[in-house]
Amino acid sequence: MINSISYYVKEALVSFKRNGVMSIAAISTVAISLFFIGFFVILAMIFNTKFGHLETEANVSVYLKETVTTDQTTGLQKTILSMKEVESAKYISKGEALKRFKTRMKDSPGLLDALSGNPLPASFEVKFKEEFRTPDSVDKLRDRLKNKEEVDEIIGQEVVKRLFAIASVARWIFVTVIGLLCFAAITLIVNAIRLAIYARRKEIEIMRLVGASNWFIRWPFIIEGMTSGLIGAFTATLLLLIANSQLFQRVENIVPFLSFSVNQTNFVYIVLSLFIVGMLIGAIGSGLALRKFLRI
Amino acid sequence: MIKMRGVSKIYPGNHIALDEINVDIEKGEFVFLVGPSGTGKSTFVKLILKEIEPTKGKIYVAGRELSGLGRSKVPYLRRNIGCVFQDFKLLPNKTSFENVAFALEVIGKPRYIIRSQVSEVLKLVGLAKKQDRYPHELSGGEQQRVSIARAFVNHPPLLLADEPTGNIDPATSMGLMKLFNRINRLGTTVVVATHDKEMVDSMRKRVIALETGRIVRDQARGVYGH
Repeated sequence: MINSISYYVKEALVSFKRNGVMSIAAISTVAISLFFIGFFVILAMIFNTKFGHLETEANVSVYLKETVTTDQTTGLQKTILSMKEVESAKYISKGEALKRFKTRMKDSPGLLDALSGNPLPASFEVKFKEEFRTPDSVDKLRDRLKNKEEVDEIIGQEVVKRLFAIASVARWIFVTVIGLLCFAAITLIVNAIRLAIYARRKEIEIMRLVGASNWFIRWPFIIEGMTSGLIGAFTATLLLLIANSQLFQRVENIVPFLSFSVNQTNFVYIVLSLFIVGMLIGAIGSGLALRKFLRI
Repeated sequence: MIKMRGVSKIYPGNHIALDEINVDIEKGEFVFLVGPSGTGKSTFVKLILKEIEPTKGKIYVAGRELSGLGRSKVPYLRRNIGCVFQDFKLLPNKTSFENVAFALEVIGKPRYIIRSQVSEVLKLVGLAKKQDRYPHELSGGEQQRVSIARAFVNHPPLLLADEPTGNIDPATSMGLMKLFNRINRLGTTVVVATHDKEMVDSMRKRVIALETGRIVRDQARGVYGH
């Protein structure tokens, strides 16, 4: 048993050295695909922590006209609350709005001095129930309030909506690119294993002749493929570490309010999954090559 | 040991290699399979090794019907069949000893058994002193002895040889035949496919003659031809 395992590993390594260029091509492609996967996953995580709350908290503001009366206000609140999608509708008076604005702008006092009186309108801050936090609900709310003359404007989800539209397009492009890269990686591994099989065809012929079991013949090639995948994953991890320290953290230093880093636990998870994906790519590649070029 | 019933092999392009072969080879026999090149001798050998499947008919090796043998079981069939070929099929980067040992290594034999069995079989074929030579340092006859040693090292009940003397001069060939005979006397069934007339005539063993895929003669203590 131990003998066999050391034999498989030895054969895999020898073959690795023999087909250097092909192996390096395969490993680099695995590394690049995995790096992109990791990079985009990190970007997606940052995106989610930065903008995710916009979706989950999704407050829509219903701005009221200056001329609105208290009766109209309570009536309007009832109407909004009667929708099954709505969880709460908080009234923000003109005074409240000004107070909030002041806290938000306290770093630019000049701007506040230019303000005369209170130009800010009163509003309702509408919060949807969890299962209804979608652009659809905003459209429904808009529909319901469209004939109310006391409503001035409904502002909310537009930005978020656009952001998520962009994100979903980006996600598709990303999935396609990663898919193509993985395909290329698998193809290159198939080729590397094919060369390895070719280089050892005489040995394999004799092995079959004297009755070596099929798995005994296959293992070295599977180990070779998976090793390519693992080295690829390792390289991708190094690249990601560099990207993390050189890019994300540097951006964070320049633009401090955008905290642009991933926490360590998540990073470990990403790396672990890269290793698993790398090994899978290697296993699939060698499996395909064995099926195609080693009919046993 | 080998039984064929109505075995035909037709290669793509309607090339008939074997046509309705019925044959029985008993345990312990020494059989020559003769006939001009292209009469199906190699096909016969390949069928027994289950390297190829017959188009028709049933083949039994040691009582086992081959078509019912799954792909993963084929290696275990081959462990019971030693094989010798015209081109020796030795690994150039391994010594005689290593070439023979390789056959045992890949079927997972422990090292101490390999060491004693390989030495013993190299002695049997008369190459004990050349066990550390590489194939290119040996003559053709010696290389074939190494390959015979490899085929026999596991003491298989059946030994197949396909044109074993095809690349070897007549004097050396006789030596190899004596070796096959010795192996046969140790209890192994030996089947030699050949078109080496002189050798067949001098051995006076059972001769099965093939011609265009059919058995035209099956003779105990026979000769190559008329």
